Amino acid sequence: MQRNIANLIVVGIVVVGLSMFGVLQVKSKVQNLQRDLDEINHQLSTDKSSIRVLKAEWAYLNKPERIEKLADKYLKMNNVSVAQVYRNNQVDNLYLASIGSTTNNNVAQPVLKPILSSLRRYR
Amino acid sequence: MSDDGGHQKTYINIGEASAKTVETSRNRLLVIWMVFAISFIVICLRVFDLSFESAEKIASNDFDYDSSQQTLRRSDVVDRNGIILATSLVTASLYANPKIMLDKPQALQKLTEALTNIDKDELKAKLSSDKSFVWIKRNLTPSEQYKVNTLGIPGVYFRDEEKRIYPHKNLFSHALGFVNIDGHGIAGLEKKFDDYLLQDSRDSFDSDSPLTLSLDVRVQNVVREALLDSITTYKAKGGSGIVMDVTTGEVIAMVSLPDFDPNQPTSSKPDELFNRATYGTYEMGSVFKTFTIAMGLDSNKIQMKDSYDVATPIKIGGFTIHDYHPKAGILTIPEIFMYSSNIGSAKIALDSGVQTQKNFLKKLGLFTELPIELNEKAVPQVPQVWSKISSMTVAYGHGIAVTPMHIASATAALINGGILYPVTLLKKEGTEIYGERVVNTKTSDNIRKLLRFVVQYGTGAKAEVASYMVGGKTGSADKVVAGGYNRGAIISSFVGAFPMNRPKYVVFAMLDEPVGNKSTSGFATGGMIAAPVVNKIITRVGPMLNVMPVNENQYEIRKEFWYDNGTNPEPQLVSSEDY
Repeated sequence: MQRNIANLIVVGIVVVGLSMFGVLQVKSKVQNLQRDLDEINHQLSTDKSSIRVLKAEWAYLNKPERIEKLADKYLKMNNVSVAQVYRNNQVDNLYLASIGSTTNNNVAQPVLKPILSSLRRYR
Repeated sequence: MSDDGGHQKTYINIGEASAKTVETSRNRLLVIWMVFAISFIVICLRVFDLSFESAEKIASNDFDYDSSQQTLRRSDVVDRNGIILATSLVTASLYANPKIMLDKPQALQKLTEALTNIDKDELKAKLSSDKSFVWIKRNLTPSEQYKVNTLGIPGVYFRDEEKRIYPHKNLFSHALGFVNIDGHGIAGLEKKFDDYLLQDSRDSFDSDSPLTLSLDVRVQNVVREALLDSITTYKAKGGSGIVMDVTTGEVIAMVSLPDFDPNQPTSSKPDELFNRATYGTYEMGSVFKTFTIAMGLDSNKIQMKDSYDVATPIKIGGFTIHDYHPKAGILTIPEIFMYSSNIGSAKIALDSGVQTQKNFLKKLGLFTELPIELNEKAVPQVPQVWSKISSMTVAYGHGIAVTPMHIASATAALINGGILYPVTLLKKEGTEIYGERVVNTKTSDNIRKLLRFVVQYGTGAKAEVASYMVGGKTGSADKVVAGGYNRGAIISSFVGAFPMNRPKYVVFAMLDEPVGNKSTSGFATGGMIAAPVVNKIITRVGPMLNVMPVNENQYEIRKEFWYDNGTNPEPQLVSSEDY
């Protein structure tokens, strides 16, 4: 009888021991994963912060004042004037005029030149 | 314990008493063994329990991995095209626990060397206090942070904090306002939308839902530049410029000069913090005549063909009303408006009656503060007792003081077909907007025509931009000083709109005490000073805002904007011009 009890206890201890080992294994794996997750989240938030800084810097660098100065310095272009604004259908007319079609003779030639040269290139 | 193998079991006679003792010890041993066994099992169970419980705890953990990163909580503010106007960045702030600092004099010396803009005496007082937390400096620059880190002073720590950044500096100072060092809005939209910008602090810390304004960076910049230019040229005290979408009530640009840098609000003067566009009330002068004539037309008290005798100044109660641009004899309504006749406007007001005038101006929103999303807005100053004299002076914009934004909003309502939309700084695209009808469409058509005439033939000629059909009204008012008017100091303004055949934007410019120079023949009137500003603004923002040029030779437009003064021939349909 006592022998049986002793055996039972031994078996019990072994089972308990094994499951403890198993649980600890799982737990340590979870902890490792947790650490990875934390690291990734931290990385994510650091990256997000950097993106915000970059966005702010981008906005700062794109200040109209600065762009204007740079454009003055490097581009030598004028402001868009009203005379350069055309409707889509007008652009078609301008193009027709440029290739010799006479569908519209209200179009004045000198105004067209800059627009037409670019049209020919990109059409 | 078995008896096989021929061994004889040996029994030791230990006597009855001894046998009892052995029995007791056995029992005791058993008890002890059981106690140990139970404890062992309990410990086992507890280990299980702990393992599972902590795992659950980790799973339900709010990922409080780095609480310092969570301080980012104030949302961005962007313009109508999504360009950042205000954003929040994490910066390090330095604090100390003086109780555990070892060598305070040395620490003081090192810190003052490492940090810029720091008061040594103040820091000394802080470090010698018996508190366990004192701020040394908020929002350090990265290089300062690096320096302090290398010093390695014990008892000095960093805490991550949020700093509000306004990348466009002065450009949006009055619209945005600013925040205090703890990140709470103090003025402007930052104050009005403090709760909104702070809400969902955790979910939106990457700012997916910024506050989108109706303002446009490009337009704002053009308006500010044009105004600043003019202020410098004419040595004005300040000015205000507004661009508003007449079909929605959205403010596209709002400038008040002088302005300040919201990144450093503490170093700005009260005059710079003052928002002239919505908080300053001014007697606007002749721009008010638009409202007077609209009132006359809308209440059917006058017709476009009517005329008034403006030859003699009106004398009433020891007060004389003169014309600034005197014209002899009888003027029609368009002429009264074009030549900005005070006498004519006063007579229209008289004919309309005090009550009609009051009701009309009230309907246009000129008696109450605007619905704009700012705390810095003023209630107009209207006459306490509305006598005949005040009725006449109000007719040409004296004795009533409103903000520039009031003028823009009321003018927008008169030219967009007659609907007054609530003025807003928020982008309304895609949402339904409710306005209130203030005048009928016929009045609105006539007002558009009259405003166009002012630029075509009258005092506003300098505002004309070819093929944008600019219309508008000039205004020059003597400034109110204690006990009367200062003839030397004037408010020079122009309210314009384009294109007049189908108005899209109202542009308002106002200069505070400009001084005329040679180029304006010494004049500082609205037509000389403010109209060119509006011209500059329209020339540049028109193409930006995709406003199509208007072919004024079109028959419909010629017919609609025909100035019938007896000599101008009636427009005829000519086919080749009507493509």
